[in-house]
Amino acid sequence: MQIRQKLDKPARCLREPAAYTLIEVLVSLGITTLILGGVVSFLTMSDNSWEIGREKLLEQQQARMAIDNITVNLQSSSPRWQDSNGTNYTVALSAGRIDFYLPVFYPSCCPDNCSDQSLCLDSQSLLHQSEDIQKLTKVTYKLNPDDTTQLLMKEGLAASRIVAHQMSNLSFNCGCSGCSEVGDACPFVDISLTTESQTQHTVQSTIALRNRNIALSGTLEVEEPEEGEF
Amino acid sequence: MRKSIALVLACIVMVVLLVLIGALLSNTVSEKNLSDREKLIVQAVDMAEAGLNHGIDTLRNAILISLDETVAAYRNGNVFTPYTDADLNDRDSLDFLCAFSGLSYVSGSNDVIELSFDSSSLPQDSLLKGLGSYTGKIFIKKQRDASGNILEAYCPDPSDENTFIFPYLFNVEVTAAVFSVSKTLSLEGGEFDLTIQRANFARYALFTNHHRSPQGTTVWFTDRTQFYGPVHTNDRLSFANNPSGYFTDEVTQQLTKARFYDQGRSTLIDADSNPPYDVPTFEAGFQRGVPLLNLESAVTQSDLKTQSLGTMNEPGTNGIYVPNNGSAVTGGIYIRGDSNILMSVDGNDNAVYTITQGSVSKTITVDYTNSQTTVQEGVVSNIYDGIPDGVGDEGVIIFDKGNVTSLSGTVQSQSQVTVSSQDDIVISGHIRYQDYDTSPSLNAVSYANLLGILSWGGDVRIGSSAPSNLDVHAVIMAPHGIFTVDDYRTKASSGDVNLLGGVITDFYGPFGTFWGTSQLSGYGRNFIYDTRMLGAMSPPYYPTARTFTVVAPFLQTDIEDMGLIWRSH
Repeated sequence: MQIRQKLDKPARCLREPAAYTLIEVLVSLGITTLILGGVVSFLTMSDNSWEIGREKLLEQQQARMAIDNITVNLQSSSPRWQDSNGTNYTVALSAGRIDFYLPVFYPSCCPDNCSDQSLCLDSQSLLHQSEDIQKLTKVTYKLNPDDTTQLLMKEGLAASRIVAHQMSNLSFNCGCSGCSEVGDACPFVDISLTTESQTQHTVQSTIALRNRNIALSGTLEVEEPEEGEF
Repeated sequence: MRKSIALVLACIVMVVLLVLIGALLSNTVSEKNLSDREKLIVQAVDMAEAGLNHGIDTLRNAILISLDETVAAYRNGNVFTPYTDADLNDRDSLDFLCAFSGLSYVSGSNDVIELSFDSSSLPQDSLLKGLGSYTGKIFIKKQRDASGNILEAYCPDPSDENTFIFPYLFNVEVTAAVFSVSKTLSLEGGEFDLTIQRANFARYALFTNHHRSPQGTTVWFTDRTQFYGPVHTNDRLSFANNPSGYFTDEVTQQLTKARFYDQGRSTLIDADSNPPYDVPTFEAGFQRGVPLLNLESAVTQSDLKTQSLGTMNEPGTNGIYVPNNGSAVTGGIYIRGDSNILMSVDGNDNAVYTITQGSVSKTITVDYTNSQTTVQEGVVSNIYDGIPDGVGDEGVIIFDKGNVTSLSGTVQSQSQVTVSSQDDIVISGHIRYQDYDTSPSLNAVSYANLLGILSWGGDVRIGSSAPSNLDVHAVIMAPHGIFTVDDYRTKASSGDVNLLGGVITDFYGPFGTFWGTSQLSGYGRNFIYDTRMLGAMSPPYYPTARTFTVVAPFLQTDIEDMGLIWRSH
């Protein structure tokens, strides 16, 4: 009962509510503005960081895709294919560009299990097995001259295609110290690839060309674009 | 009211922070996943490459070791004939590998056989399991020629069932799995000819039946002994001093204990060395207690005599004979009685054999370009078609029913020659191939010139007048004798005998003497094995064993030199 009385009776020590003074309102508004400004600023910075992080991630993905694509093909190439006529098909390096030759094999059904056995015949009507190289296809990687953020790949006579975006710099070098060209003495290629981010994300790799000392037949077909086409 | 605002603000800040932390974690996790996948792909490729090497090694073991052991059990070549004859309905070259090497046909196929392997067979498998594993198959087919025609196995000489050739094509395909990532690689287009032939005695830089002199004296390996090739004895080897002999290839002996000089006490120990007194260097190990290798030959002295006589009856008087029918040579070069033989090359790059017997001298000039042989005695000169390469056309055969009292000179670049005698052969000067290389070490790997020196019943000796640092490019065999140096006890210390070839003898002949670690007299041995003998190459009509062996030089080359096509699937 006593407790109830105490709760019902207004406390004497509490002051009656009064209106805010102009100064109080201004101060509180100022503080609120400061806090909100800080929060907005913080959010903006965070958003930028998020965007940068996401951008970096995407760029790294692009860089990895590019390196993977080049690696898979370059590994299957040779520093110097040579046919029985003595013609060499080598790896050519220049600023931001690499040209090399990939082997293309006869179909796995060759020589005896194809419904159309002509698939296993060369230009001289000689029968081949699935392990034989049917032709060499020239492969080129370079930055798109019309949009240098794009990495282009051209394989044989097929149309070029974009294999990675957001590039800013791409270089290919012979992978041994002091060497001038990729060859039997140095079957390695150094790749350095930089994305266009302000932080300049760079991926480097040294690729060993796995096919060496391969004897090719004289009837080998070579698929490459006309000079100057790409 | 103020508390509410504070709560709202705190919540906003919390939400913002949570979103940021979430984003950061999301980025990090995504990047880690990407990196992990990259790492797994690289590991899978590396593991698949290891599997390819394992596959090549498996093929080598199946052919060069298992199959070799299997065919060594046969003495009669007709067991291989059904696989190499023209009748393909019974058995062919693929059936041969199934029957003799345990391979099997690919399910549903009659033109491809396979051999499986995987990482679980490796001793390191328990270490690999945490990383991943691989499985692989070796596929073997018949080779095809440039026109696509199948190349069947064959016997080059069906009337002489000693050599059988099986042309094969192989691929190795491996799939490696590292957690969720798998990668398949293959090596394509490996072509090799597998030859089953009688075992060649020229497989050793040094082979002795008894590793001592015929008088029972111990002949020691010292620091003046260097063998660059396989060494075997059916006896025990003897080593003196520290350093002692130097051996680059595998060294084997039949007995379990080797003999060590032990400062003159001569001790038998089952060990590689007797430190600190007697310490030889074995680059490829020293195996004791290996099985006895029989010097029993499928080729006899009579066979070589027959090859050199051709259609001519054996003459009853001494002389130098080049059997012919009036227009063409019909055998080799047959000598009855002792002779001196000088080999040389004339200005037209012809091989010249100047053979002297007493006051008689014949100059036999072999013109490989025109396939002609000129025999000149004094002013009389006769020209014959063909080359004195015996009935079997293997190469030039010179047989002396007596001693060759002096042999020296140059073996012409296209010449493959065997100088054989019933009794001793004395090397009187340098014997060198016209074509050979000295880099990276003495070898004739890229060349055709080849010489065999074979004494059937006597010794091969280095004459007392031979020069210091004597070069001998030849495979030397004395199945009942030794290879030694005349007057080796009294001949001044004369450097080394630089031999490119191999030595196969019954006993081990002394070359010089030593006291402590000092060479007192004679020659040191610098024997470099002619690795061409590991393949199907041997001097013409050279003795072969009764057992069969497998020869496949392609499988013995480094994987980088095989010319296989690396392929990613």
